[in-house]
Amino acid sequence: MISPVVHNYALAMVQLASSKGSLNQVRECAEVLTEHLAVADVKLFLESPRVRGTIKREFLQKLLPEESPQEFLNFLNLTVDRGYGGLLPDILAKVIDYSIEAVGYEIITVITSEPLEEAEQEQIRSRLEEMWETRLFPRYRVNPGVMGGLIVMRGDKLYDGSLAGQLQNLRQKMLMATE
Amino acid sequence: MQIEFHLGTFIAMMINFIILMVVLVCLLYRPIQGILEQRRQKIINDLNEANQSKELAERLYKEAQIALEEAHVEAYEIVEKARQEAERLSQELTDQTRRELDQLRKRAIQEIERAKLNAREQMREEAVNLALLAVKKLISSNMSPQINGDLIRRAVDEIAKGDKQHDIPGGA
Repeated sequence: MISPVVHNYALAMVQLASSKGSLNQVRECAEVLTEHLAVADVKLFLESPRVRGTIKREFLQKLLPEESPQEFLNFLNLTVDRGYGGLLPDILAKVIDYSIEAVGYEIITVITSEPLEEAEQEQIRSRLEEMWETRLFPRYRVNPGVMGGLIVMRGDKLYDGSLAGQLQNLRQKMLMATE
Repeated sequence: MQIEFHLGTFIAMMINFIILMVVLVCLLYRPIQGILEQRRQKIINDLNEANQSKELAERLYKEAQIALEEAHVEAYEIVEKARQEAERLSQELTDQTRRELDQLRKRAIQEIERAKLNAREQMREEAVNLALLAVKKLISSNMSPQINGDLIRRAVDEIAKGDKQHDIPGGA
């Protein structure tokens, strides 16, 4: 469940970036910041009420590329000033998602047991785009528990074409059959 | 010595005697008569009182007899009632104990049945899990990039056809 604050802030940023024509730059900035914020200490630093807002703002600006759009810097300042620094990783993730969707892509998650080659990734994307008649932005994840095949998550739907899923079905059938 | 009879002396003595008698009668006989009468009356009263006391005693004795008999009857009734109550309580206790034992027996049977079912269920799950573990090991040992690629292609085809679709639990 997404927090309304996260949703509203991210949507506002993406709409502003769209209107200013800086959607790609904002997304790149959000991706760069997300990488830095993945460090646990940085998150703690942003959440801490002892650290003053000006210090947090200066710190965040130093992490960004020099040509970052002004509206993105303002957005970061506003988020920190309002005391939502701790929510920044979630807000940035949503900014990335919404900026992708804003240019007509649908985000899906593809989970496989082994990392896929680029050609395989492209093959999967084009096949699904062809069938679903939409432009897709797949995010590939690796989970050895899948064993083989793949799992696709699209919105609130899950398409399970994995060996683990088939074995799970087999287990259910075996249990039902032996009752 | 010769005793002479003197008429005059004799008459005087007779008069003295009569006067003495009159005096005695007047002074002693009548009071004694009164005392004797009082004594007789008192004896009669005592006798009457004794008779009354005897009658009272007899009456009280009879009443006591009746009261004793009533007490016997009452005591018998009390004992009888107590015996019946004790029998009733004993019967109730026996019935209750029997009911509780029945319930315990039924519960024990149900628990045994449940435990049997659980054990059977666990054994079935264990057997299925073991079989699946063996299958997983077999798959892992035989899995190759080529087989995985085929599986992925087949899965994509099935997904594209709309198969294998589920709602994500807790999804939006």
